[in-house]
Amino acid sequence: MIKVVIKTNTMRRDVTAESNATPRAIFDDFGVDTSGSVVNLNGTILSATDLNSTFEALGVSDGSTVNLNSIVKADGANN
Amino acid sequence: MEINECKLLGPKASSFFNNQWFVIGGNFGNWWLEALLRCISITRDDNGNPTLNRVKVATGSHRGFTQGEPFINANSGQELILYKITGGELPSVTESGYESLDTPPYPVAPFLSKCSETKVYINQQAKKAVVFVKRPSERWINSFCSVLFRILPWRFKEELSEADKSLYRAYSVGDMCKVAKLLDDKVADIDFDAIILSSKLSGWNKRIRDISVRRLENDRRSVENSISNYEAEVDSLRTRLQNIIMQQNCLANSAVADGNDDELYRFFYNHKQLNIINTGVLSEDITLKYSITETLEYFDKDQFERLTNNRHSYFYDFSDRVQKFFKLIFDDERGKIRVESVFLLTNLSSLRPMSGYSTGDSYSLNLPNPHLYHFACLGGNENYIQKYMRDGNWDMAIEQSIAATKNVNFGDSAVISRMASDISSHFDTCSCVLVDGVSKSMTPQEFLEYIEKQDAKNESDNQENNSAEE
Repeated sequence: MIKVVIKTNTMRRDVTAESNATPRAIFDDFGVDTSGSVVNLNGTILSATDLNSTFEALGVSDGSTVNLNSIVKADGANN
Repeated sequence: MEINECKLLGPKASSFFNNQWFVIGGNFGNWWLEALLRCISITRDDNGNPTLNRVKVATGSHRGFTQGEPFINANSGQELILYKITGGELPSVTESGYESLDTPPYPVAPFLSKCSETKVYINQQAKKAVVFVKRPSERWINSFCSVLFRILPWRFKEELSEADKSLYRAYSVGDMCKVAKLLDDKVADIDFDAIILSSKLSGWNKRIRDISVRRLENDRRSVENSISNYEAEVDSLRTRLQNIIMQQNCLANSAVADGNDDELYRFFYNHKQLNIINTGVLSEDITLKYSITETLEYFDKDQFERLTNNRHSYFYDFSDRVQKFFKLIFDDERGKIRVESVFLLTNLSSLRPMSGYSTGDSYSLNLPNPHLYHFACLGGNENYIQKYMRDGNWDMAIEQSIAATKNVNFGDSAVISRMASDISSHFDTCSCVLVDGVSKSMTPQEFLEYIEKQDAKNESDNQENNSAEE
C-alpha cells in the first residue's frame, strides 16, 4: 500500500492505494481532468505513457508517500 | 404748500436720488424743475415697482458760439442740455438727427420765447435734447416744465394721463400748490425709506452671503480633504489587515504549521529542478530564495507556426541563424532549451519571481526564462499561485512556479524578442540546448552543426539503403 497525496488547482486529498494502481486511475476516481495540465509525481513529469503505468513501475516502493500533482499550464503572458 | 413739504424734495427722496441735484446750484436752479426732473426719473417696472432711471442733465451759461454742436459735443453723455446764452444770438444745431421744435405741431420754442428767447432741438433716436435760452426766469422755467413732455418725449407715453395733463397745466399757469399736490400724488405709493433700506440691506446681505459662501466653500473643501485622508488611511489599514490575515491563514494552513520542516525538506529533495539559493530574514519576514532549472516545454506550437508563416511577423526581425534555431527547437522539436528562474518565497505565504536575478549558470549553462527574468511576469500562472498561497498550498504554488518557468508564450513579441536577443548574444557560449540521446549539452551554434551533421548522415544512410534495395 502507498499513500498518494493528490494536489490540483481545485483539490488536495490524501488517498491510500495499491502500488499496482496507476496515476490515471487515481485521477479518474476523483474526477480530475488533466487535459491542459502537466502531471508530475514527486516533481518528475509524467508522460502519457507514465500516466497509465503502475506506481510500482514508476519506482514507488510499497509503504511510501508520494505527491501526485496536476499543474495548470498557463500562459507566461497576459494576452 | 411749502417747497420743503413736497415729498420729492424731502430728505428721504434726496437719499433715494443719492443726494445729487439735477439743476439746483446751477443757472437753472429751481425747486419745481428739480421736483419734476426727479418725478420723471422714477420709472416703473412691469409690477409697478419704482426704479431710478435718472435724467442726465447738463446746465451752464455761455456766449460767443453760434453753432450748437460744441455744446452737444461737450456734453455727449447727457440727455438734457440746458444753456443760458449771455450774449449774441442763440446757437443753432444743424447736426443730423436733431430737429428744431419751432413749428407746429409742437411749436415749443415760440411758446417758451414768450418768456425769453429760446431755441429747442431734440434727437429722438439718440434721446437727446438741447435748449438755449437768453434768460431762464422763474416764469420761463415754469413754462419749460409745462412742455417738458414735448422736449423729452421718449420718457412719456404718447397719450398723457389726466393727472399728468393737470400737472403740466398747473406748471403753465404757475399754480405751484397744485403742482406740489399732483407731484405728491404721483409718488404717493413710494416709500423711499423702504426702498433705501431694502437696497442697502440687499447689498449688505449679498456681501455677507458672498463672504459666507466663500468661507463655507473653504470649510467644505477642508472637511472633504480630511475625509479623503481618513478614507485613504482606513483603506491602507484595511489592506494591511488583509495582508496580515492572509499571511496568518497561510501559515496556519501551511503544511509545515506543526513546526517541523520535514515536508518542505522532502519537497525540495524530491524536486531536482529546485535549488535553494539562501534562506534568511528580511525585515520581519522569513524568506527562502530558490532557483528552478528546467527545459522550455510549454508553448503553443500552432502559435509558433502562425508566427513563422506570417512573413511580416516579428519573427523575421531575428537573424537567420536564430530563425533556424527557433524552428529546429519549437517546430521540429529536435532539442530543448534549458532555462532557469529565481523565486522568493516569503513566510510560506507569498511567492514572486525575482526579475534580473540569476544563478551562476546563467548564460553559460542556462538561459533565463524571458518572462520571469526580464519582466517578472507570471501571466496566467499568477492567479493560481495567489490562490494556492491563500489556501496555504505553498507546495502547489512552487509547482506552479516550475510550470511558469517551463513556459514561453509566442504571443508576446517583446518577451520573445528579448529571448532571441539573449540567444543571439550567447550563440557560441551558452550550452543551453539538450538533445535526446546526447549526454552533453550544446550551444545553439553546436546544435545547428550537430543537426546539419545528423541530417547529412541520415541522407547518406538513406541513399545507401536505397542503393542496397535497388
